Amino acid sequence: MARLLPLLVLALLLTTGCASPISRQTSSLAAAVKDSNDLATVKAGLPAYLIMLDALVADAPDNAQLLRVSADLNGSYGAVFAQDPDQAKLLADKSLALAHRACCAHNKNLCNLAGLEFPRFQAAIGGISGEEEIPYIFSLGAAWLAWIEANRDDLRALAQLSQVESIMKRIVAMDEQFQGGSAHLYLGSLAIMLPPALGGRPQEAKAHFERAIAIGGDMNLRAKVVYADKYGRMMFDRALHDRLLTEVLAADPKVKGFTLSNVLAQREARELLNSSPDYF
Amino acid sequence: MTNPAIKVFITALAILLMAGPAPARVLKIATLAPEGAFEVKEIRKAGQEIATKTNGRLKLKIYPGGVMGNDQAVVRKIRFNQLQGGMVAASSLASLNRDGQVYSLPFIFRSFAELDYVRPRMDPFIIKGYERAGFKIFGLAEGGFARVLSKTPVTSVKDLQHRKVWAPANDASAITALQAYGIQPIPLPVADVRAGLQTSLIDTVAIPPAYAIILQWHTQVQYITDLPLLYTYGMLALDNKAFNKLTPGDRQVVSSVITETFKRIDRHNRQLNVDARKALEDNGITFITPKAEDIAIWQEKTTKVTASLLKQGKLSQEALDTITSLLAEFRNKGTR
Repeated sequence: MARLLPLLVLALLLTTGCASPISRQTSSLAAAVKDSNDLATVKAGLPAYLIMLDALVADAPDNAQLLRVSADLNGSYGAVFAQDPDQAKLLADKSLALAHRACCAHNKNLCNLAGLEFPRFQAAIGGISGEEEIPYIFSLGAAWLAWIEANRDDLRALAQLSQVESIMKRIVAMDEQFQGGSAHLYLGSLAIMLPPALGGRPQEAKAHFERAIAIGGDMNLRAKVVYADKYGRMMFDRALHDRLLTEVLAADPKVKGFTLSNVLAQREARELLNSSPDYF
Repeated sequence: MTNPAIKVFITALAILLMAGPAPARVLKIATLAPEGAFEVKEIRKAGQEIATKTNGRLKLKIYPGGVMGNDQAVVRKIRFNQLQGGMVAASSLASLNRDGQVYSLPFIFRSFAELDYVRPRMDPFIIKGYERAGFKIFGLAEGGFARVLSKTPVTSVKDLQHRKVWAPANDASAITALQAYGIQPIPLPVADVRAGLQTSLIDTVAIPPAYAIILQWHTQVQYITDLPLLYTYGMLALDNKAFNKLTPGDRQVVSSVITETFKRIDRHNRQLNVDARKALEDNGITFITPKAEDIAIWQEKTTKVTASLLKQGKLSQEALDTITSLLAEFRNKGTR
């Protein structure tokens, strides 16, 4: 399986809103993280925040929003900053379990999704219609994909990719603008995960990526990086690949609420552009 | 100062200095496997090792994800020297080595144990066939036993005759073999199978379980018939002409590095299909074991398929005799 979607989960690091049930200090802390352009400090400081969230979850084990925030941050930290594959797996396991708990705490119809056979899972996701469910199933889909990525060599994980696709399709159907069109980015990446000759769907992928860029505008640089990485490389379109990444590097990463994500996106863009001559 | 010997020496020195090191030779290799797939990671590692061991004289350039087209296109491009090699499925080279398909005769193997007895003894015979067709092969890599996956249970040939069974488009051998069982298959490119299952254009496929998961076909079926239908494998086919242009030392490096690489891919893919079985169980797929009398009917009809392939010249008597005798040897030992 191709290196999946580490960049995608960056979204969560940035979009973890902290509203009423979480303390004001926690909200401010999350906002400070989002606006930071200092990766080293965030990397060093976030673990303390994660432990604090563990404590808050322990005190309020049925608080759906707190569970969801904790799922998001554990998943993001694991995908972006994990020291080694074992730590990435540990954090991805924790994130997915928290995301399931969050869904279940929010709506009892979303309990036990993990154990459902695919047709029943698809029916359960298809039955979701409330806007208030979207953040929960988005966090679940993102945590699930991060978990698949962390366990990429295990077919039992890969066998669950269609669940993520179902979730993201449902979100696009309900509110494609959610989190700056992030569900389109996931769907684009999933559509081009396989080569066209094996069932990959390049036109569909391209449409999703371009829609994500259109929705996110110039604020969020990661859409172009994911487009270049997944589509540009799979389709061997070096002109598109290099153009998108050059645009990302030329942009100002300092955008309120997106700075950290943009700094990370630029780091990834630099790596991809440097390896471009070898790849193409 | 005008000594001609000195002039010659200086000129030769200048030429040597201007020439610098010889440019690296590049072997371009394509595959359908996407970036990040185990096979691609392994062949990239092999490329680095080859570059190091040849002091940069020889490099592998990998084209993953089918960017050079499907296996047939890759083979054509090798013929036109646009590529020097491809990591391809054995079925793609069937027209170049008729006996390459002998492992893929339906129901020829009953177990991995039989396969593991036959392969070390017969792989060299098969590889020679590819070499006669102009390819250097560095070992075969298991793809796994294709099994029947379906939307409704399949236990017998009769069941299959009433199903909408997929056959790979442009694979005349597979279509002929299915027809010999009285099945009228629906040919589709691999790319269209998932959609075909989703829309019920087809309802039955045969594929190694690991690939069913990688291609996400497993979400569209509910049953798997637990019979090793046919064996699939792949290889790195390198153009013999390109290989022979290398220095003997570099040929040795390429052979040893890629042979080891393919041994690792071979072992990895065995484990992958073992894991796939568990993954399918976890996903609620029901495993069906046909009754002995149904298996006997499968095997009886298979005899006709084999006879038909022999008659059409798609299989040699020598290949069939070799594998039959090895299997008899194994079965007589009572170690099955």
